[in-house]
Amino acid sequence: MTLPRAASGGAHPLLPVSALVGGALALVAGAAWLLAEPQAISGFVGSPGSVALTHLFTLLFVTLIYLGTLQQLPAVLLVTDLEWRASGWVTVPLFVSGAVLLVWGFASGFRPIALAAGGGAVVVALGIAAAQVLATARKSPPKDPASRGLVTAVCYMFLAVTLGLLLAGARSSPLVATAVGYPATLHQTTGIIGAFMLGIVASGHKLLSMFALSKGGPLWRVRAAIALTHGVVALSALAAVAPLAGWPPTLSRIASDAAILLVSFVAAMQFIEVGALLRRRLRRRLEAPVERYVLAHAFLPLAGVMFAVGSQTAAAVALLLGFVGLAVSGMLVKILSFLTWTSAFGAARDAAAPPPLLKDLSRAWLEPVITAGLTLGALAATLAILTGSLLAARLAASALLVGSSAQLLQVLTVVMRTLGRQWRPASTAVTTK
Amino acid sequence: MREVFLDNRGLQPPEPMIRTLSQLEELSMGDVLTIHNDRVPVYLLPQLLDEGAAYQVEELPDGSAKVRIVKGSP
Repeated sequence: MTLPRAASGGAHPLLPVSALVGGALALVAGAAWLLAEPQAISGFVGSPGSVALTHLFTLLFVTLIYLGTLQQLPAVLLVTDLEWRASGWVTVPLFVSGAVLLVWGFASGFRPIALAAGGGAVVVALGIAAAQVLATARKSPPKDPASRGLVTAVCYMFLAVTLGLLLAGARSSPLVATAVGYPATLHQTTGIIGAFMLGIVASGHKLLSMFALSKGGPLWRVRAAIALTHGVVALSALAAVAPLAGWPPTLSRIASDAAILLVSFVAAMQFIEVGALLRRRLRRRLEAPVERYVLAHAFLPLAGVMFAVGSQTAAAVALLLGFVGLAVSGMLVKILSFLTWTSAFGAARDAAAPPPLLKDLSRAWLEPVITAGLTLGALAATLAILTGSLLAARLAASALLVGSSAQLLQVLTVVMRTLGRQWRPASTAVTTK
Repeated sequence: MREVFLDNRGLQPPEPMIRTLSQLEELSMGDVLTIHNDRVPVYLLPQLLDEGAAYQVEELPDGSAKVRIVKGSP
């Protein structure tokens, strides 16, 4: 198989494409696992199976897709060539092997060696990825808040996995526990809010504008969301450090409550900003994956309701599976179509047959199946956490399996159709130097 | 036939794409839009095909690119 060549100043397209396909495959594996073990979300959420599934979703689905897009997106957004383009050949395989080892380590009863080795590999891989993005940003500094937000989110992603490794160390060694405590909430907050939500706020602002052809407007909400995210992480860090420093417990509680309040502000900002982008759009009819991205935002108020009724875990599931899951899924299909199209046809040099339209690369009938499956799955999983219902957990697993399988089929269709057509050069596209 | 030129250099993504597609909407079939961007606008190209437009990319020595777009029917 001859691979398509890079066209956007990013890494070789095989890297992001394989990461995106790998992420889609991981979600199917996670849904099948949940179907076999539904008590992972209806029972004790700290069980090995539950923690393993959470890390499968956050690392092998969300972060792997994130890592894949980082092989191209910074080059496009920062209008420059990606620094150390070849480093992805190290970071992507290192990250995947580390994350698989980590998930296995959790599932098999928190095995310290697997957690240390897997966690270490994930930290090194994301450390290199963060350094790569920072080096690219240093060469061509981001000029707008959305680009700056994306760079910041990548740094928070590295911080989140580093905190996770410390947390695993604290669980295994009393010495580490004495030194750093058990920063579980800080690890989760940095990952979910600092990395995922800020990443969606920042890259989503650019991508939604692009896909919906939304005219520019005031950027103060994006700036505010970034500032508030810093506040959330700082307050969570204060809440984690206060007990270690011997500060009054009240301080830790106030910091935690304030962090939750700021999270709700960030969510509200993003909710309003997406509405504003949609109102300013030129393209009246949104494509199905973009609609899924927009639908993801309905889970933000749901997460707020879950907080209000006192279930922090159900709120986290609504945020992760609903908001992050649907947003990533929507962007996954759109980004993959653009990526494979531009790689295969973006600069064709001769003229024989027209290149395909973007919509010809995917199967339209799969889109509603993906959206319905993932949405119902996220809703039922939230309900299962809230009520402890095994029936809701089984429904969640079944729906997620249907949605994720349709998504994997869609992703494979895009790749296969592009590979099948890439040797027919474009009649309308001629590039000269 | 109308000919329109847009200098998109210095604009942050996705502004050049939005500017280009907005301008294209205002043109009639057969009109020509030439854009000058900091780089080859790789993500614009499939959108142009979706709009039924034909394009020709010229990469310039300074790394920037000119794209000549002929509006067609979507």
